[in-house]
Amino acid sequence: MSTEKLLEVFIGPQHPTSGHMRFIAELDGDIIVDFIPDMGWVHRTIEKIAETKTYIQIIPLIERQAILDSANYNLGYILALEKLLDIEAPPRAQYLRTLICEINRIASHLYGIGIHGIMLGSSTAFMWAFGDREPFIDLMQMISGARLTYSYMIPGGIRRDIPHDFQDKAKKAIKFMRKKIKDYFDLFNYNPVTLNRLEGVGIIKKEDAIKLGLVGPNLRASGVYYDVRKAEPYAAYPEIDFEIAGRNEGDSLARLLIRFDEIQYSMNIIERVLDDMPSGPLLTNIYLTKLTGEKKELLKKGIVRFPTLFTALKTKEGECLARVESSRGEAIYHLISNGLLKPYRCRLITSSFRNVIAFKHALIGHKLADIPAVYGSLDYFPPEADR
Amino acid sequence: MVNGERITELIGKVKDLCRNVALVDDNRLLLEVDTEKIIDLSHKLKDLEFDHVKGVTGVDYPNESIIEVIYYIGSYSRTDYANLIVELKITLPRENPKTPSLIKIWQSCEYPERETFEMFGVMFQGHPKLKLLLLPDEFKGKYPLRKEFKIPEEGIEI
Repeated sequence: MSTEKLLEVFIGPQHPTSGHMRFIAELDGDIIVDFIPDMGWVHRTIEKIAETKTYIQIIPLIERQAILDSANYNLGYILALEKLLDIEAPPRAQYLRTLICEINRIASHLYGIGIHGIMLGSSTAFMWAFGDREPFIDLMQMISGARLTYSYMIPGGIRRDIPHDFQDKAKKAIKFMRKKIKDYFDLFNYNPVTLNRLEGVGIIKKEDAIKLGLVGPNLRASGVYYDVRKAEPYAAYPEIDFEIAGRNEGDSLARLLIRFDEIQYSMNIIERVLDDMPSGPLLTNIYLTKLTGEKKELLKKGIVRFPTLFTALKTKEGECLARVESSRGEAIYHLISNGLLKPYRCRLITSSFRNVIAFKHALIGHKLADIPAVYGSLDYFPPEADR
Repeated sequence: MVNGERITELIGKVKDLCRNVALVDDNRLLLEVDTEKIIDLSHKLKDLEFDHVKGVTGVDYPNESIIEVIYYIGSYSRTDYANLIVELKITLPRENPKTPSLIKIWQSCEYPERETFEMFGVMFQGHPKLKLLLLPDEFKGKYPLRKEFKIPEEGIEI
């Protein structure tokens, strides 16, 4: 085959789906022979900006790498920072962190499913997923006051307790979603059109998934049951009995279905967290004693105002690595501190950045028309990869 | 689960090739290595079923005139290494930093190495496509994550 026969097609970067991203596809007829993801269109130098901000100012900054999944990314940073500060959040705060992370995981997966739906031409799946995401976003708003960027976790604890009617609302949302998932299976997942487009398309075999170093649902759909929540439990995960989703097919359908599995398992976790939630303080004792006057009064209402020392928070000299399982997979934080007000280096390794290599692999040999099916199934989120 | 024995056994197998070995946290093994030995050490780690690179990081130290490059390596194949991250650290001179690329050993370091190249100017010898990744093609100036690089300001802050 001579290269003259090949046709180069540029896809994007004008928002092909879930963000600005460009692909360069080399086609022989309509068969893809080479597929190059070209990223960086929404690169914001978050790591560089983090070097100019204090530790508390970094919290809202770091969430911006993936606002869909801000709770998980927030938590990873806080875990690294807490290790540097030698503090630990009290049990109730740990449970609430787990709670908000799992609600966020559901919302994030529904977003991914909706985008995947519209890429396949199913506007119903798109409308449903985005509509059904609302109850969970409302739950987050009840806790944190924000729909997407919560800045909920702070060093040593969390910002706010859950309101008294939260349990009922959460259980109502879960009941609704459990009922609704059946509809997705009837109308979208097992729809012959969906099956034809996804089944056996974009297969990533187990050994390839390992070799490429994929993460998250994309890895677990290929038969590698690796989840940081189990491998190295954090927050309240060590105390909760939960399952992780896993499938073996490794095709686009498995990657779609595993997100539904994860939604169901996350709902189980939320129920367990709500049932077992211990009572107690929301902030570690070292900081609680610093709260006086009005701040102390607000604490009784479950509102944590920052202790004054947060404006000049200093850590010990040293470095620390922390990781969490975000909605799209493992996220790693490496903080290096020289004992000053700002971190010396704040390294973020996000899950989409690690998954981008899958594009090069999964689409070779498929048709041009299969690109949306595979792209959607990988749940790739450009701002998260570009940072 | 990684217990003390596993780590001791692992350290015993790799320490000859390293300049320094340290257990920095419960599940973080730091291996400092010279650039000449990094290929041998990587092969050894690969044989021990450390099958993927989680990321590559550069850290710039202008005062000491060095750049550190850290590879985070993990294992999906061995469940007893699931919670372990091996940090492979090499120290390079700030002027003309170069090191062999590990892409032939771990395919997963393709994008991370490329990012470290564009952000720190570390030349990974043998990398097939050492081009700008996140930065725009028309980007001017050198190596954004080095300390002397200042983010251009537009002067709109008051």
